[in-house]
Amino acid sequence: MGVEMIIECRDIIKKYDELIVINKVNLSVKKGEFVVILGPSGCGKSTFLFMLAGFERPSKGKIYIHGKEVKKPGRDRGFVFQEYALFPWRTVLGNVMSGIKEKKHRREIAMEFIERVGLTEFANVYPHKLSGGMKQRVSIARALAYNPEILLMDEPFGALDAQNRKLMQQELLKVLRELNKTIVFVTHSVIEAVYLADRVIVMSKRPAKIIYESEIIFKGDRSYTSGKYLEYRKEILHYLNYETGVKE
Amino acid sequence: MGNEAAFMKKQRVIVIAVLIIVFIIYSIYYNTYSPKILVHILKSLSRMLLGYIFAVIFGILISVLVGINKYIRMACNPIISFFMSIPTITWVPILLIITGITEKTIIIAVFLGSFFAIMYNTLDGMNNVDQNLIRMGKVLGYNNFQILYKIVIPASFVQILTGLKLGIAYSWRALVGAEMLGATQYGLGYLIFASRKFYDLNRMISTLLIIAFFGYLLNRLLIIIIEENTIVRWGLK
Repeated sequence: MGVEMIIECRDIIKKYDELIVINKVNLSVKKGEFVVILGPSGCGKSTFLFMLAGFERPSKGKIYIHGKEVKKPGRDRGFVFQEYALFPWRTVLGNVMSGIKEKKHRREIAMEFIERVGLTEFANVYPHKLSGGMKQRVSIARALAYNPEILLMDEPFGALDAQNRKLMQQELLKVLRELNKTIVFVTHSVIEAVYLADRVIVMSKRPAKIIYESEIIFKGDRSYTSGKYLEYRKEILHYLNYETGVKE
Repeated sequence: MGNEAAFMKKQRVIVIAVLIIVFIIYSIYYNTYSPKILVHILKSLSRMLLGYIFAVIFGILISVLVGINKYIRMACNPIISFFMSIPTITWVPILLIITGITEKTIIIAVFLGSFFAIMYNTLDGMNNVDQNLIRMGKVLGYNNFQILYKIVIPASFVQILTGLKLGIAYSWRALVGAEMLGATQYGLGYLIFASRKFYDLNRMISTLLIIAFFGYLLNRLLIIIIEENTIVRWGLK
């Protein structure tokens, strides 16, 4: 055995009545890998992520995590929603603490993660007082604080403006590199995908299947302007545009 | 935002002040020759609170018990709607036969007045909780019971409070109605109805104002305090 695969999806098919949403997707994710799934809007990539999380079951095929079949949500997987899904009745600290089981050090662990996402001063504030970017930081801190091995992110920066988005991407990379998580990240932004990913997967429009896959390898630091970055971006855009019907 | 809140607060103070002045001038003036008015007020308030508190406890408790299962919860909705459309006052003649001319009759009428409204709104709130919050609870490893009290109940709080608010209004109406229908010798409803025999219009109108005033006060005192410490602080209102 070479590299250990954490997530393995075999011939995943998802149907709603007669409508086929996902058609035979196979995907394996290595430990510590950052996989980004790209696809046209409404192609079923979020549904795919929901199945990884265990919110929904595949109609056919099986998903394994560490060789065990996924049947329901579990604490080995953290989830970040596009619309944050914070608990409005809990403060930032309360939200981040909500997943931590160790009773003794809950507060300290939560504060550590709040510090990581740069919200120490806001620990006792209720979420409605925060901006979109800050809310998403809380949501990420909450997902990381109970130390799941895998982090699933469903267009987490989709509701943010362009500048906040870039800032969040950079900070996310920094935090995640330190923690060495395995990540599956869904987006429809190629810019975001190439910047963040170790591997990009492009899905077709419905019924979704994988049409393109590429490892993203940078020498040195990632940047939005390096030649390598632009090369990857062009190639991926080519496949994605073909699917969405956008002219180049 | 801040200005608006301050304005609302100021407006509230003015409304209450005006009401108190009208209340003092009119009702006390016309009722001073009968110190019994205090007995009537206390009697009405205590019946109201007793019936209402029972309705709150049972309304929320039963909703939560029923609410553990999504399908039972949804099946309950039409049944509650059906009972809610019965005007509470129509229960009174029936209760008079079953329980007789006693305090119980009025308290049960008050209870019935608010129970269905509280339950209807609580269930409605529980049915409309953001699915992603529930999913989040599952990811965090909550069991069904934890999802219920850590997520579903706080997430339905806006609607639960709506139920409590409506409940106060309905209970107060039911109380006055039951007192009028002759289940007692005391209470504001009785007073207004009894004064009719003496063509004592002054006392009738002053009693009416007292009824309005305490109805308003109950709503303000009970609900506003809860609201400001919950849904206002959470930014849900």
